[in-house]
Amino acid sequence: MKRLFVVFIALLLAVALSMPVAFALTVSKTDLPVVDEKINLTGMVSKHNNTAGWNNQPAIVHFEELTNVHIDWEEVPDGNFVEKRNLLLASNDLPDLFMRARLSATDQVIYASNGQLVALDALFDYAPYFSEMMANNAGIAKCITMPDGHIYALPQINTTDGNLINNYFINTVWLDALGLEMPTNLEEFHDVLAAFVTGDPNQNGEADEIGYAGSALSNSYDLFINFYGSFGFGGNHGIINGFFDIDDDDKVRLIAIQDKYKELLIYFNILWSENLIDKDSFAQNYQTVSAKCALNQVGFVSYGNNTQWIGATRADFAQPPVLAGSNGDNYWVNVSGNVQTVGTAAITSANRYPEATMRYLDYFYSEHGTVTIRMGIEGESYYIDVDGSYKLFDYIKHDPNGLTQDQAVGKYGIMGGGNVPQNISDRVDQSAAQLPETKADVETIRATGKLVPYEAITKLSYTEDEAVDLSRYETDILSYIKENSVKFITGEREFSEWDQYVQTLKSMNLDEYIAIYQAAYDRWNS
Amino acid sequence: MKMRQSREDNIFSVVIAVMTCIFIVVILYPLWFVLVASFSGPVEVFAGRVWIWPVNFNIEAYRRIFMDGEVFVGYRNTIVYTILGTFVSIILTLSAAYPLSRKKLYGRNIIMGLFAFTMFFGGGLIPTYLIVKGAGLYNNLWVMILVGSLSVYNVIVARTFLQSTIVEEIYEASDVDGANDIKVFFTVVLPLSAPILAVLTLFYAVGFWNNYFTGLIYLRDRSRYPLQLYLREILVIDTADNVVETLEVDMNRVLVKESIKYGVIIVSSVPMLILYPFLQRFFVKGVMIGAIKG
Repeated sequence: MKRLFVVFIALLLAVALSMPVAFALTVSKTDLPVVDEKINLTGMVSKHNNTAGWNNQPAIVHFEELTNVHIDWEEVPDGNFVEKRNLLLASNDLPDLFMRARLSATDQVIYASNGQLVALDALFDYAPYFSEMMANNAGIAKCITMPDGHIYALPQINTTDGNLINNYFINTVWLDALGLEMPTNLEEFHDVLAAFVTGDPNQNGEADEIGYAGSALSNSYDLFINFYGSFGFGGNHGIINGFFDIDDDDKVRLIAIQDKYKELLIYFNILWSENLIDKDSFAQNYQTVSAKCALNQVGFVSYGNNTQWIGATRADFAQPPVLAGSNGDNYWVNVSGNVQTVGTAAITSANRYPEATMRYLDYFYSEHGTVTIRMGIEGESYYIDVDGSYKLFDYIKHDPNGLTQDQAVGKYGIMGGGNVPQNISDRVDQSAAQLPETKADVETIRATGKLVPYEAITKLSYTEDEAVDLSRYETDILSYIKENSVKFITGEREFSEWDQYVQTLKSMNLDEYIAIYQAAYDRWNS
Repeated sequence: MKMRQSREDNIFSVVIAVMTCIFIVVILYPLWFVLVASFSGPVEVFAGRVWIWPVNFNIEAYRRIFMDGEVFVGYRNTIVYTILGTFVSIILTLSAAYPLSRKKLYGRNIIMGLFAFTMFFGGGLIPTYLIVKGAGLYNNLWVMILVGSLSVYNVIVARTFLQSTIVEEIYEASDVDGANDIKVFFTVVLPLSAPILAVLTLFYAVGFWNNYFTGLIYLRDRSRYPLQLYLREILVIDTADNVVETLEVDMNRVLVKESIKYGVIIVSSVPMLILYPFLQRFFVKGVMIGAIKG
């Protein structure tokens, strides 16, 4: 009996000792495949409708062949993803990784503090491409590092001008029809809009012209965010959360109580009262604006980073020069940094092979990786031209069965909807950002205004406590600002009440609120 | 005297008629608008030019909805879930309601109290998710039928109905004739319960038909999705954030979404609209009878 017991213990020990051996896996730091023997992981992914699927998708199969990492994907449609992801995290029923994870900075902080997300910076030995990218672009690490100094999720990096710069567009056909000069400053812009509305530039004999058709449905600042630079705001680090920027002394400044902001509101109030702005601007989405453009009723829009969304009449529209303000300010501030999206992929604590997973994800950032994501398989969906550039085959661009280009590529690649860890450069990009007219629009901005440099654009992250305080103050303060900005513009509130408006705002825990932004900014800046 | 009363009556009738007409228009117009908008050009819908008749008549929205055939998979699944689910639910509801309606059930107030308790307090989503997963129902077709298959509200309606329509004397008579409780249920109670069966069928069938949340949380395979999840997916294509990361934007496709939205409403609610008139004659009667006593 006793002997049997000893044997039993010995067996147990043997099993226990052999366990780590079974786990020990040599993960190559530089070579492919990442592991010699195939490993299997489970991943949860937000599936975009244009991507045919993630299991058996040619791009994924290709990555598996290269890395020897197999992933079973649980696909959740985009619209349902966040809800389901949160449920899995809350019930601690974790996959090995999340893909197209849409983890905001605050999500990352919370789930990391639960111990559910793995700190990736400890694994960067296994991320040659990503490390190299970070070494070449100091802005990346600043934007993805959480307040505790760690990195929990991978970003989508983008270096193409056309994807990062937001524009406003003026109807050049109308300018020509009325023989008007391109406006170069706010005063001329006002006069052009006035001429649009009264001069019947669409020549249908009806006064159905709209000057500026805005689309500021949920955020009133969408109406004027592209004009901030003309009033001297955002020149240093762009705009934060719609109403904040950084002043010359590295201090966070609330735009909405500055005298210059009052000037901006007065300017828009004049446009509004002279009927130069669409009265639906605070009640319509951009699709409605697009429909109005299609009916040739619109002279000016301020949305998007290319003209594609305008639809049928998009060729009529072009970026005008950056409109200079009364004292010559001409910053162009509505720009996103090279870190286009944070939280696109994360490794969970359930993952037994974090190193191998890191290398797998890291490969997405290589040129070949990003091309595979965006264009699929060489010889099947794209080819390399004689000049070395990547080209989609013609039957992908113009699918014989009537699929759009996105849907046709979506049978091979996985870029649908973006939000994928990848490094988008002009070389691998085939989007509207590469169209000559988009590039011309960017050139116009560069030639006539001061574009905020990409690396100066902030992405702030907050500790859990800060996030709680922030949302507590934010609700009152931001809705008060938004509401009253609309009231000032539409004339519902007189500018004689401006001081009263500023006083009310200042009594709303404004200092504490700004202090949180300041702390986050100082962390970002350090 | 008689004349005056009759004139008041007339005025009253006219007022009632006018108000009814207004109500009918208020209720029917949105339905009509949805139908019309689903057949109109999206630009016209956006620009607010659609009122009574379709403008720029087209069936692009329906073509897009039925294009990939997945909607039919959804239809099939939803029909299965609705029929099976309604059947299971009615069995569960009646087998709870009938005993609870009998005065001779020992401790029936306590049992009723326990039932009622769940109307106000629930475990919440995460514990439910863990239970479903633990029971092996995750990604199983039965999850669509069993989760939420018993509605306590409906049990109360059914119990009250049985209490008020089937008087104690009937049970006594059956007792005298030598029928046991089971036999009483099948030969006496069920035949007398047609109105409440109709009401329960409609309540449950509509519930199962419209249910997308259970599928959203507990289903993994697309082939098991109910119709509502497919329709939801069609609606999220080409939304604003997707325009950002794309090779080309065909604005016509984005705009057609507006028509699709209306088409989806038609596609998903027509079967229930058809079902309703057949059950409607029982409907008011059943609910009202169930509602008289507390």
